[in-house]
Amino acid sequence: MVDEDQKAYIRVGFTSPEIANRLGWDQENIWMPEHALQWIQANHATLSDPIGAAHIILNHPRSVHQDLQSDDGIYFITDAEELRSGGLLKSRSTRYVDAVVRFERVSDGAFLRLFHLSPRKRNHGGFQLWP
Amino acid sequence: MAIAARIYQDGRVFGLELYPGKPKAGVLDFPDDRVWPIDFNYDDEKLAAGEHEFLGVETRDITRATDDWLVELDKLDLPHVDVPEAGLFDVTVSDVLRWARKTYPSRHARASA
Repeated sequence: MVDEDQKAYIRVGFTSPEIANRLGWDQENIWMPEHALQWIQANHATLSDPIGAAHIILNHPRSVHQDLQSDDGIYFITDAEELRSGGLLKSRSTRYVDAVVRFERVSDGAFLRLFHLSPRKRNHGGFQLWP
Repeated sequence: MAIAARIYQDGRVFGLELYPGKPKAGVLDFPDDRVWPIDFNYDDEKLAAGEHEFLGVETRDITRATDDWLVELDKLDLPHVDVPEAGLFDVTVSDVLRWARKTYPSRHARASA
C-alpha cells in the first residue's frame, strides 16, 4: 500500500477477533510504514524478523493498553519469551516487546497504522483495555 | 568530541540514532524509575550486564518532551551529537529534541488538517 504522501506500507496482519471487538476495530489489516521497519532494523537488530514479531504481539499480547506516550495510540505488549522461543528475538536483557497502533484518517478513508515496535525492559502501558 | 547521529521523524514520532549506519541491538528503557515521555535506547549486552551504553532516544510524541523533561535530560551524562541534516553540530540531546519539537508538530498539524 502507498499513501497520499507516497509512503509505502507493509501489511503486518491483524489482532485477534476478541481484541478487535474490544477495541472496536473492524478493519482487516494493520499496516507498518516501510521507514518504520527500517528504523527498527537499524536500532533494534535483536528482532530478527520485525514483521513476524508484530504478528505475534498483535495476536498474542499479554495485555493491551492506552499508550502513555501518545494521545491516540493503542499499546500492545507481550513477554519477550514468546518471541525468543520462536526465534524472533535474540536479546538477553529484554523482558517485553511492545507495539503501538493508531487509527489514522486519510482523505479517502482510514486505516490502522503500526508506528512503534521495540524490545523493552519494562511494561510501559497505560490504562488496561484488554484482557 | 561529538558523535554522529541521524534523526527519524514520522508525524509526532521522533527518534535520534547515534552511530548511523551501524546496526544496533538496542533495548528501550528509562535511566531511572520515572516514566519518561522519551524512551532511551541502550545496548542489549551491556544492559544485561547492568550497564547503560546510550544509543539514542525515541518518543512517540515529541510535544511531550517538555522543557521540564529536557532539563532532567541535561542532568544525565549523555554525549554531544552532530546532526548534519538538521544543521546541528556539537549539541546536547536535549538541544536536538528542542529543535524537533519546534520543527515537526506544525508539519504534523498540516498533514492532519
